[in-house]
Amino acid sequence: MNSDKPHWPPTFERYGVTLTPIEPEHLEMVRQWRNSPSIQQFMLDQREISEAQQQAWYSGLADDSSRAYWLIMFKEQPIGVASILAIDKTVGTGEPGLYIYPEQYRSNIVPFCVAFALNDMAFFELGLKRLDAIVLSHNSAALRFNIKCGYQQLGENSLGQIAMSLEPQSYIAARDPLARFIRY
Amino acid sequence: MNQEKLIQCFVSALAIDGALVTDELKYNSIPQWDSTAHMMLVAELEAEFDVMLDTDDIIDMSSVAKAKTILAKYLD
Repeated sequence: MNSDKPHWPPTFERYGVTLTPIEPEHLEMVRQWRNSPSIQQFMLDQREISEAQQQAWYSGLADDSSRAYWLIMFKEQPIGVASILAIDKTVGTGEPGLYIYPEQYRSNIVPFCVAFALNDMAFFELGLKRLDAIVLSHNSAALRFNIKCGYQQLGENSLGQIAMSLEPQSYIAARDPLARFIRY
Repeated sequence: MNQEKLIQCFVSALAIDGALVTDELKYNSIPQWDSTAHMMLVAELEAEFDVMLDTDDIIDMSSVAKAKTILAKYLD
């Protein structure tokens, strides 16, 4: 075992993508992505993130098993960030999220590859029973994407946020017809 | 390649008018062509043209013109 590597979150490879723990050398790249208008506009928290805030966030992740952040690798290139937050293994719930920075990978099969890897990790590696998501109501692409992945729409609050949830059975039913196109 | 069949695949998958389906139409250039519609388009094209696209071609199919080029490769 390599003691220099963090044990949490675990590296996971499926559907042509690899979810790998974020290392200190990735922090500035991730911060730049997260602060870019194309990503920021769809975040619940749209404030600019400073270097100090980024470092504090990263330091806070150490040994926190309720939060998992991964760098998304595709064709050996970092392309975005995936996460599962509010992980509660007792209740079996978590809140997934992902973004992809390069535009050429945003509107095709790659987001599905990433989402399926993340959901497989959540349900079949971490053993979660339900994933909860909040999507801004103006983010119609994300709403359609989540529904295509099997999410159920629960309702909208006064802030224009739509609550959605995903359970393993509906996820598998949604995943399999799409995963057949992932031919890596 | 049957151009009419190709246009119908786009019309059906993206739920857009056929007049919009020109070579210049690119994904993400209209709200209807998002990642979900892209996968419906791939399913339509594979079924209608009886081909099985490589995943890299599914990623590269970023415009109507590109779709024609990629499909032609499979239909030769």
